[in-house]
Amino acid sequence: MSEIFAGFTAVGYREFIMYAVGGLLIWLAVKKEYEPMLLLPIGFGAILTNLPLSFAVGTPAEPGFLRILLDAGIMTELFPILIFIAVGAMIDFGPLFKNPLMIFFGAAAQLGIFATVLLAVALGFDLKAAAAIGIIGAADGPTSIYVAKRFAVQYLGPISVAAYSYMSLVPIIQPPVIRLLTTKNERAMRMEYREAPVPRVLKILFPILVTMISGFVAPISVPLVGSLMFGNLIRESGVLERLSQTAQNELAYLVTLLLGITIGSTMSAGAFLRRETLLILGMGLLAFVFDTAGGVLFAKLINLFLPRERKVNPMIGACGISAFPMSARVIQRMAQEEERGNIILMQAVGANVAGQLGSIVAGGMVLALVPLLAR
Amino acid sequence: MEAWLESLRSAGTLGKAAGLAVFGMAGVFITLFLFYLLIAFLERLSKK
Repeated sequence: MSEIFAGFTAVGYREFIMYAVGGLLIWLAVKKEYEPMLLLPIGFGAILTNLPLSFAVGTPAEPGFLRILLDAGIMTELFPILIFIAVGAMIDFGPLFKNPLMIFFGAAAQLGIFATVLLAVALGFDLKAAAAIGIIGAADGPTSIYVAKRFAVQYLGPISVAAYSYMSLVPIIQPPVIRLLTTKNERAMRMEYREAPVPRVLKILFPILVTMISGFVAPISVPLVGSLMFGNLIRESGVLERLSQTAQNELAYLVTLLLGITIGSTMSAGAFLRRETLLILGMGLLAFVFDTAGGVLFAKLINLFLPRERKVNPMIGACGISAFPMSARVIQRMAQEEERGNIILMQAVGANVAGQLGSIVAGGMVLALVPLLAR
Repeated sequence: MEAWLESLRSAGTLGKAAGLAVFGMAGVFITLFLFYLLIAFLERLSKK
């Protein structure tokens, strides 16, 4: 008789909390439109995996479809890599080529990653777990998943949820940090923008040579950088329009769909309802705050050395995170609020694109350095 | 470089994290500086 009612007897209050967590993520996706393409599948995956006896996940001997997807797509690192190809096909490096100085903001705004690693270690996490938590500050979902799978697969769920949630909360997280670190005059600062065509040869050679440089500097980063740049090369070659469109649309949507529900499947009550989850969510938020501060303060620093006519609006520094194009839009809106007609969007987009490069380079650095230090 | 790494390996976890932060940020800046040089070089090349 008990077997007939196994569905009712096999769950406890922890599973009900997870249904609420899954429901919350779906609500954020539907009602608030926070990264709906990821948060909705993650939320539903979290509910699926916590249903009685977890048949959707199954056992190693009799795997359910979620375990098969996890083994095939996450443990092999295939899903993040495919997403990188799709993202690469979506990126236009043109605004960066027109203003190459913006590339340094893509480096400065990675500060949050490393500041958060220090914080995580201070809170008792080991170096590998701390590195995986810190990478939330890359503001780049696939990089977070890739690094978390390598260093702290037990925290894959909370790290992914934090990365995607805070990316969608950039319009709420960044403005107060920027206002705290800048004056009204600085925020109203105008920047000159010169429209110039970008030579095709530059657009084509850039992804190839960036991949090669990354391969020499940090060979372990090649899967990340190489897949991103492969997607970009398809886009910029000008002869693979259909492949480029397929990567940007069908590939991106299909893999995102599977990635989300698979990440949700790692959120079993036992794995998710821990003190560490709250700490990870808190540190992820701080990582975004540190990123923003790092970019803004770096912009203020280089302004000390730039001639008057080339000074940058310090808010541009905050666009050095990978959350594209959300961060650039936020900064443009703030510039308009401070002074009507102040257009810094193209510089902001340039820094934002640099942030996408910076985040995967930072991910590569973490992947390369942690095994050396943790030996 | 190797000596630094060796001393960091024998440090505590916080020391290793500090080493990761210093080397990591330096690595990101150096790599992106190389990309900056690459863009400048390719621009010049394309103008010739």
